Amino acid sequence: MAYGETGSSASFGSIFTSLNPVTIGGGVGSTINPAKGDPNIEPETSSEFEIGIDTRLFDRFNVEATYYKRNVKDLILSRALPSSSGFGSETTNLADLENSGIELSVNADVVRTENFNWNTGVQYWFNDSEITRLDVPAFAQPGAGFGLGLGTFYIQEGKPVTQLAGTVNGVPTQVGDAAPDFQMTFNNSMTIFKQFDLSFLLHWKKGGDNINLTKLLTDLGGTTPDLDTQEGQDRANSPFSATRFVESASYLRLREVALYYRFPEKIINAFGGVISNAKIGISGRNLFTITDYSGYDPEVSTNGSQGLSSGIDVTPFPSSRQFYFHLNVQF
Amino acid sequence: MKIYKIKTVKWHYALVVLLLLGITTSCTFDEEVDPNGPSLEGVLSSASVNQLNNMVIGVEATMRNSLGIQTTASGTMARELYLFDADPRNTANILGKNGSSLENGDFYATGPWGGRYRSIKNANILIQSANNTGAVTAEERAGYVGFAQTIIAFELIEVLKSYNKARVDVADDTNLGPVLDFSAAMTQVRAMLNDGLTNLNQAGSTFAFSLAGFSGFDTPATFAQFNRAVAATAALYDGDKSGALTALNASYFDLNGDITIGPKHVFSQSSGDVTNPVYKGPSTAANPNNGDQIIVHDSWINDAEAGDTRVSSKTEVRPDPSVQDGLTGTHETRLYATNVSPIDMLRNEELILVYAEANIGSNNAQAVAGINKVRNEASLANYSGGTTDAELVTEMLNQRRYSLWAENHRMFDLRRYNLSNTLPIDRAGDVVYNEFPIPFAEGN
Repeated sequence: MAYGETGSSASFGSIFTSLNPVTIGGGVGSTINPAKGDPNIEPETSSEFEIGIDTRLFDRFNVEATYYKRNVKDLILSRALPSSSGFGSETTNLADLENSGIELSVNADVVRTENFNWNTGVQYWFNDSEITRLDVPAFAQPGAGFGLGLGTFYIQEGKPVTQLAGTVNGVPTQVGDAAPDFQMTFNNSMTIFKQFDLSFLLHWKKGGDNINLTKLLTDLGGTTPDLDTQEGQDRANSPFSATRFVESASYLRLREVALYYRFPEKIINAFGGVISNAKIGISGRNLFTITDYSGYDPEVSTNGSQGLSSGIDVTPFPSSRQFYFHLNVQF
Repeated sequence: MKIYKIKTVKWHYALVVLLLLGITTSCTFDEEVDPNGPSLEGVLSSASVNQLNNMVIGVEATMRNSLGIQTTASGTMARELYLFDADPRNTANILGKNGSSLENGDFYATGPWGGRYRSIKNANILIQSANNTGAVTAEERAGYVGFAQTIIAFELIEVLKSYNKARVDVADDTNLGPVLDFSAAMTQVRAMLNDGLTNLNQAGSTFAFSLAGFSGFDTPATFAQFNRAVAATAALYDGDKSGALTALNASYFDLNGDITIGPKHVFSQSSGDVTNPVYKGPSTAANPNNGDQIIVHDSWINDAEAGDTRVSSKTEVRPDPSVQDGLTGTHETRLYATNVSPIDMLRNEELILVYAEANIGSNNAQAVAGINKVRNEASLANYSGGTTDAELVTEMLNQRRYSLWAENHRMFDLRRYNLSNTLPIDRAGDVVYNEFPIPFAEGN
């Protein structure tokens, strides 16, 4: 069981409203910075309560279980301002945020015999978030989406910070949530006949929505695969709306498989003590993905990995399938 | 020895005093002004002439913000042109494809609104700073304020043309006034222009600042002519035709003069500057532009009178028709020769058309004179049609359609004459919109 508090201050310069340089006709002048400063900005504080167990059973199983609840007070967020004020956004203390979740992990030596060893690990985790207080009207997170017409991250009291919202019947409405219901990984390593090592890692993400704007572009260009079906035609001829582009991005992916052969001691010794260890092997990454998601890659993020912006799909470069050949020699 | 001792004592005292000073002064903070660059707080009081002149440049430079999308979106809605680029909303929402609506969070809604109000904010900062400094004389101050008021009014008219509404009272960003409908806002815009004129008339013979793109309009007396030209358009849009004619008389309107005279937005490729956003790379037979294009709406080509040189000078037939999202066009823009060609704010050609419009109903012969001047400049013969008010309105709007193509007029012209429903529909299911939605963040 643990409890902790920590603070995080705003980035430097947040208290100032600065003027930016601008040029016309060869002269350099000043224009108001669209990001308005707040002289009264305070650090955000987060407190975390955590309870968990870590135990080993029958000398074979490791079990870890953790429940946590983290409250962030005075969360520092950027929000859009009415641009008739001359400003575009303001970064200040706007909200309280609550995160809670469970992390479970089981590690087991399933088989331990002379010629076959099998170790397996299962991790399971999820996180739920909720904006518990918002001092200002709900707003679209700047830079995280393309507006309510196509779907965007939308900061709203009582909703997850990861909610995706769009205009439905003229009202901003939640149409999805980028946070998965849960995620699981399943990793295994085996040693067979003492010299062979086999390992693989499976990753399962259940739930979590993406905004698939690639489909919007391919519909427009007439290259979406399902356009020769009635369903595809109906979609392509429907007006733009956020619900048209939100898709579940659940997947099961084989992240990594590796097989190594360790040379036995008598071969190592044949080199007369020059080398201490040697192995040879092959491995592959991202070998297969089982998903109903129609884009290239359910793990897409147009805006990189920063905070609230993942899951927006605008014609990404698909992640590649990789194969490696290994030869490791230790001297 | 004695002297030496005294000196030692004094040295100790000095040290104690220094330490005390250190303790007391370390408890105070320096005034909070951004150490890394110019800040708003730094200019609002006791600004220097240089700081004021920097704000003048800021006002002018930001007048160009989002000018491109304001022009292309309104031109698309008015079926003057298509913008074919990577964003599908330019051919979907803006044309109401399959009934899709305009979204108040989309770029065509937020961009022009934010751009116009950024410039207005800079102008309001300039007014506040000029009124709160001793670095300038009363005449110089009147020059800054008169300039800023005229530009704010000009920008608000651009807001009204696109959005049919405007927030006029925006000087205090923490306490914004209401969003006003067209005629209430226009009343205040006209009052602001008159205030600006009063200030310009008290601003002596020269400005304390220089201007870009205002060649020939860069003294208080000549800038006042621009103020009156803007006032003429404001009066006309407000339904006050005689007020428009009065204002025209004090402007640079010249029925027989050069139709290109007038202030311009200027562009360059210098660092920190921007290029003409309505310029698009021209196609050649060997190298057609199939990327970011402004395609002329076929109706603009087909409806033109034979021999109208505005068609041949502003557009060019493409090597092959451009097709996107079920839309086709045979011609592309040549409105601007290069990416640093200036964009007119308000040229004599438009003022002549304002003159023609303002005369319809009171002096139709003078309206025809204005129409003929514009026609002759386009190598067309004098107008030979009927001269009833309605017929002249049709002809005047047609001349505006060709003289002001892709200059952010057509959508507004059709709206103010209730003619938006006469526009052609290119694809079954398309909808005609004639005003931009006010951005979501405005909370209205």
